[in-house]
Amino acid sequence: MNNHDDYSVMIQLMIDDELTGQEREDLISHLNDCASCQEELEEAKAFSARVRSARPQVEAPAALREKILSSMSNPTNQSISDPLVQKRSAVRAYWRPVAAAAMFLVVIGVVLSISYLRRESRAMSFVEAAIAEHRISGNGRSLDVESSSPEVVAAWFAQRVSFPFRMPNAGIAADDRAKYTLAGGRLVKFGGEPAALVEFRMPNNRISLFVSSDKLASATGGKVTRSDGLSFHAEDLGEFHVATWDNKGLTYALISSIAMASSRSCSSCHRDSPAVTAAMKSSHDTFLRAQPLPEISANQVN
Amino acid sequence: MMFQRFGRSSEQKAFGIEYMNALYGYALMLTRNSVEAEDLVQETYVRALEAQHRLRDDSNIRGWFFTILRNLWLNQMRKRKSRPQLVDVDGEEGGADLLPGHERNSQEILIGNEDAEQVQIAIGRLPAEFREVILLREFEELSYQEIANVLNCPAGTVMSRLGRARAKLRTLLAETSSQPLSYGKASRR
Repeated sequence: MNNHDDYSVMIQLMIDDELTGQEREDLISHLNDCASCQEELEEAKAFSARVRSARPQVEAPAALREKILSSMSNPTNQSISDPLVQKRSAVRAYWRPVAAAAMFLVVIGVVLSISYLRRESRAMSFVEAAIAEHRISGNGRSLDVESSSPEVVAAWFAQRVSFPFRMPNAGIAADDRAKYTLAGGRLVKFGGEPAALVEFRMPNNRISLFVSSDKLASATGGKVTRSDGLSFHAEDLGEFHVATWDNKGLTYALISSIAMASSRSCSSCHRDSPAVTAAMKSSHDTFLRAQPLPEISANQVN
Repeated sequence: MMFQRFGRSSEQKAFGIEYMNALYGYALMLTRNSVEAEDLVQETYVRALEAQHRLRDDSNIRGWFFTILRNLWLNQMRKRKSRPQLVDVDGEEGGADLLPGHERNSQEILIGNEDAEQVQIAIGRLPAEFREVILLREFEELSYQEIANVLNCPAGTVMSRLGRARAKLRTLLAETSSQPLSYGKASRR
């Protein structure tokens, strides 16, 4: 059975029209027998009525009403009359296309950034591997194949690497003005795949050519020179001069200790002659341009 | 209600306009600033128009408007990185100045009689959380569940809060009735 505290709560609930069904019936039944609760009910009703009668007659400003009605009747005119809505409306009007464009740019930016970073990372690791192998060769590591014939070396690598190995011909391998000579090559690893290290020697120096599939590496960074559809990237890393380029599915890195920054750098690797001077001019970029094209492949050799 | 929500008639264009005064009063209570209250009400209608297609046939539109308004206000408070005033349950705040329409320069309120003013003063002295629940129940006559939806709390919380608010209001009214009304007016100057 409920006590009077419970009924007090129920009385207020009834006044608030929150009592239904059996609870309401029980309370009404109790009120018929309880003068105290009847008195409490009347007092609570009076109190509620007193509070409600004090409801402020708040009236919204006419200008606000007009703005709202205007915006409802013609949502596109909201911006004309009200700065707040003007701001909101302006935002809304351009939100979707701007958001779409922004999202597109963000996605493109992320993709390009990732692509760039991956490319940079691949390029650096490729160059680092090339330098590392160049150092190893300098420490007396013997060559796997020893030959001054580009065809022989190309054929040897063609049977051992998973990419269609080609030897850069004109500038390096078959330049009859070159002071260097092809010494041979070593099978190395890059990215878990077989790669080629071709070695050229000079009387007091040597040049390494690191070759891998462009699926594992790519040329980037450094000073870029474009020639005949190829981009050559040249930079100095420590004591090494590095030149990288991509061509027909392969990525090349040329590593040497020879300073190539001066106008006389060509003579470091090539015999002076009026023709060479005219062809190579004075820059190292010209030197690079002459190197990779045309190329000879193992297929041509065979 | 259907014509209000889905029709193309003039009534549809005035969707919920009949609640504007009540919403404005609620906004005044929350913001205590007529300019902010106007912005809040206007924004409420903008949002309501955008979202009216989500209303169900049995939705309580009036309560829904109040809910939108309160949520917008809470969002504004969050953006300002200040806690909403309503959490200060135990603090007493200053008199009828805080009641809707009781701003000093307000021309929007018509006080019916002296007792009504006493009640309004007493309500204005309630902690904000109590004042809010009294406004929603006694002035706007929302059900417990509707109030719970607006306040985003259980209906049981509404019931208990309302009980405490009424008890506090009774006490304040008892104090007020023992004082000359002119005291209350003078205190606001």
